[in-house]
Amino acid sequence: MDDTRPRLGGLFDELYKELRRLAHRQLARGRRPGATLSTTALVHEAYVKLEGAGRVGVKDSEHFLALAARAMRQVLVDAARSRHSAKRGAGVAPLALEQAEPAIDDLIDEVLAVDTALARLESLDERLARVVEWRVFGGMSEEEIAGSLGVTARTVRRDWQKARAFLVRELGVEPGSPAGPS
Amino acid sequence: MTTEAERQRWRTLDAILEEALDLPPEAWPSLLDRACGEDGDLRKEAEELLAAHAATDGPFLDGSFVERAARLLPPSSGAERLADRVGPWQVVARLGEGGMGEVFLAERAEGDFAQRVALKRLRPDLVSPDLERRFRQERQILARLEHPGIARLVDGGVHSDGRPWLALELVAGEPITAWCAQNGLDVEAKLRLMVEVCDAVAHAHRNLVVHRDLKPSNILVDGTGRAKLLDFGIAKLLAGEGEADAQPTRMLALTPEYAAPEQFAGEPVTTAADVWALGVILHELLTGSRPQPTPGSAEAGPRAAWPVRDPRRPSTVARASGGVAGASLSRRLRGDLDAIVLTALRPEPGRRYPSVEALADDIRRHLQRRPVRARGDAASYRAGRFLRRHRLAVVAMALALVALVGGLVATRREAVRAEAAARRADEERARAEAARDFLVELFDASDPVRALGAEMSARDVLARGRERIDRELADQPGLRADLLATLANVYSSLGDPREAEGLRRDELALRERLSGPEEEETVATLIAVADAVSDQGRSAEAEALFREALAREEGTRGRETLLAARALRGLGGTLNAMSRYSEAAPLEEEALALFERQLGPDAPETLQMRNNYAMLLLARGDFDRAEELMRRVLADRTRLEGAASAEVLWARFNLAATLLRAGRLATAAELAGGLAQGFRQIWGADHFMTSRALRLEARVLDLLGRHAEARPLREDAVAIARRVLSADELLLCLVEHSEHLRLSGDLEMAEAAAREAVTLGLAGQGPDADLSAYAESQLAAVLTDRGRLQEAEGLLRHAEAVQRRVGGDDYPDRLDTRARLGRLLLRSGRREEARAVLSDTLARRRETAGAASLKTAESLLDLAGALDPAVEGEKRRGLLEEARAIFAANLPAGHSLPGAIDRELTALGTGPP
Repeated sequence: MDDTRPRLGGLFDELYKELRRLAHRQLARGRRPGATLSTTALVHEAYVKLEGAGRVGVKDSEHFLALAARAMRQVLVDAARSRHSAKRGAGVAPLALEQAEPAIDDLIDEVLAVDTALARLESLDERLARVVEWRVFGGMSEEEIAGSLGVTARTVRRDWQKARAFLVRELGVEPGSPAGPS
Repeated sequence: MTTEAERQRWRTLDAILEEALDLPPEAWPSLLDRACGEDGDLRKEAEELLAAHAATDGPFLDGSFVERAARLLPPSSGAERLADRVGPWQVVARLGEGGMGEVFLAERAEGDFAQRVALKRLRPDLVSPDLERRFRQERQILARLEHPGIARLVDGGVHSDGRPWLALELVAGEPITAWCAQNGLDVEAKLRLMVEVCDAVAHAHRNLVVHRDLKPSNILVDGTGRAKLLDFGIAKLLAGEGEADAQPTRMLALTPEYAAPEQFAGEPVTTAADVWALGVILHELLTGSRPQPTPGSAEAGPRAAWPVRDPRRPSTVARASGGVAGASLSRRLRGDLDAIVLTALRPEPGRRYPSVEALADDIRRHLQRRPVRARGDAASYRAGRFLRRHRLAVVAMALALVALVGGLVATRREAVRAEAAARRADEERARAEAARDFLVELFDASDPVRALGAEMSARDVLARGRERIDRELADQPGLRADLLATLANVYSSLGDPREAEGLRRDELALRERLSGPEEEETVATLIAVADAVSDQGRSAEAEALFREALAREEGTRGRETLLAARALRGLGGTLNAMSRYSEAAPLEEEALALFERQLGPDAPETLQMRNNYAMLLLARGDFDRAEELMRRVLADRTRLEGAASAEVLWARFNLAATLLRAGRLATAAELAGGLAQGFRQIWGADHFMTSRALRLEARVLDLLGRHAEARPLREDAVAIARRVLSADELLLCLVEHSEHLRLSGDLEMAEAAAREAVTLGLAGQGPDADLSAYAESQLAAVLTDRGRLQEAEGLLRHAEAVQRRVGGDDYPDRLDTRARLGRLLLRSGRREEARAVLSDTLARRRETAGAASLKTAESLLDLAGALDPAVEGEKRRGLLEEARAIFAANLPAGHSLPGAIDRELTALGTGPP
């Protein structure tokens, strides 16, 4: 399978593993009614884990959120990609619980479509793509993003509006429905 | 591949969007007309983007996207094996997944009755090579944890895939935080529930199990309102490699919100980590939020990070929640509950509550409106508590102050008149009355009923008094100095020498200005400053001040004065505190002689000085003269105050304890007799001094071999410790009680007492603490007598290692343990090893306890026992004779031990010397 993970070094790889593990754990909790998966909590748990293990230096910690958002995106996209190839017959063990998910195929397509659209946005306007990645996959607030980019929160809000318009058009989302291909 | 043209195109679109988003949609067409001109494609794209923008008011790529996408992650291994049989259990459903593995609902597959359990399967990556062995050991400990507040371990084993599993009592309930919120519990009810939780945790600690991962989701409250703890001991099971009890918590078992700082640091985890977690939970229950907002949450500041270093005060959090309810809750939490929570949340484990029991105890104290220990070190609190508890005493003190002020005014009148000749006498009287009134007012204001919510501490009252003295008596420095002295006395009696020092220094400055540095009252004040400094342990500074006072006194009035005596007394005490005994001795002797001449032989200060001097002689090892003086103090006090006065009892206790330590058993016995009864009459049955006196008396009786008489005293002491004293104090009682029982031959009871002591030590202080080693050594002595030599040896070796680390090679407790080890080795037939250990112990005891001490005599007997009479008869006889001489000198006439040694000597073929 092609590995499109950007080579960002050891910390990224560890983040990737850790977020995968944490997301999975959150997922198990998420099955209970009312519980939600909090990206912010995930990223922070990953931070605590890696910082405690001495894996995050001072320099890293400034970029940690951004790096975590990238890792989170990668975790989810890789999962979707691997399911996608399984669907095509690559062979994955039967899934006792997940088999019951009816919309799993749609979900796979949705995640891959978002990733592709985001990649296209990235090639056109890197800052807009960053805003989306940090907000969606890193759970960062407007203020945090503004701080990292050195712009105002208003600019971040405007960037998000423009990026959203681009992605919606790109994905062909129907008005009112959450991001899913029509 | 994105071309530069495409990027250029997007920049154009971006500019159009930028402009359009500032305009209402009606204005868009004209904007597009202007911006796109003839470029139809560009216009189409811009229109699509604006339509997309207008269409997406609802959620887009929000939190639910990541959540849904996470379902695509591969399932954790094991989930696919839902149908598994695990041991005798049939998995029914998956309940969830925690940090250490998955949890399933399972029921018994065999047998007649239906039993449902929560089946925990540990994550495969947690299975280390030695986990299985450790697991089997731990399982037994966990299975012993029977408590209504702890979910029982029903079963456990290792599956064929190598993954351990645990079957736990299935608890239907809500996490404690959610339950309290849903049922609208008030503060009192929450505290009672928390006490219940603490009791369960304390039970586990007594059984040597630390939870390490306490959090609301591990504390469920069932329908009847009873709390139950889950997952006890499981974190430890996973934690570490070696055998030691205090293993660093692995990061994976750590819940940052509830983990103690030492867990983040990977330091050894003890019961203190559970105290921390309970502190966080208590904080959360009381305020609805944790001591620190989760880093990264909206509430947290940019610098928030784990671990918590600076927990928020519960009352502050409550106030910040706003509104009338927040303010009222904040008032409820301020004081005791703030202190309790923050004491549990001290970053350094050693500064937290020493045990979960202590935490529970403080919550109980608060519920019973008794002073909580968490606030014990705040001087103002102590003063406030003092006022509340001793309402009558304070009234009496206020009256005494009033009387004192009256007297002062009378004696100061001349001076005041000289300072302000023009002032009329009735004006002064009015002033004096005002001074008296403010003191009365002061203490009135401290009446808790009057002051209502704003409870004033004695410190507040006194501070207010100070202000008024400075403000209203500015023009009467003499009177002001007298009143400062009065207030300083009050502070001293409240146990606050620091505040007293400040007042005394102000008084000193006033007096030096008013009447010069050499004047009697100035020198008296200088001595008072020195006393306050000395009370704070600043000995070197105090020494200089006392010497200065002595020099001033000597330079003006000579050395044959009362003030010189007081300065000498202070100087002697300070030198004594610095262990400069030989310098202190002549000074104290001189002070005593001065007091005798100036005040008479029976004056209170003379008696006090005689007592001080006797104590100094004891410290120097001059037992004969010390005893002579102490006896005189005792006789005088008994004559003057009656045999049952507290002063007499203290004198007797001090003397008896010191003589006992010096091995002067006969004299100690005489002094200790009936001491406990006396303390009981003065302090009541539940006072720690009563317990101490009981122990002292019993120890003397035990040493004399009068075990039957010691028994009721021992039992009383243990009972008092159980009722009112700390776990550490109880441990000491139990160890001594165990030794008493061992000496009486009640080995089974002796073992039980020693085991309880060991358990207390481990739960309270951990395995590597001095007290735990002390208890282990005792247990080993009992086990040796019971013939369980192997177990005993292990305990002794561990205890000895701890004691050596704590106190060095010559630490008396270590030598006791070594002596026990020697006896054990002898009993095991390892004579050579025994001999080496015992002769080393003898040499060290000779060196440290003294050649003529009882401990040395004990070692002489021990070593004699290790020698073969047939081969080394002469050497053996030498040791026995030396021991006999020591015993004969220290034991009262008629003691059986010298006779027994005589018989040994006879058996050796030679008569007693």
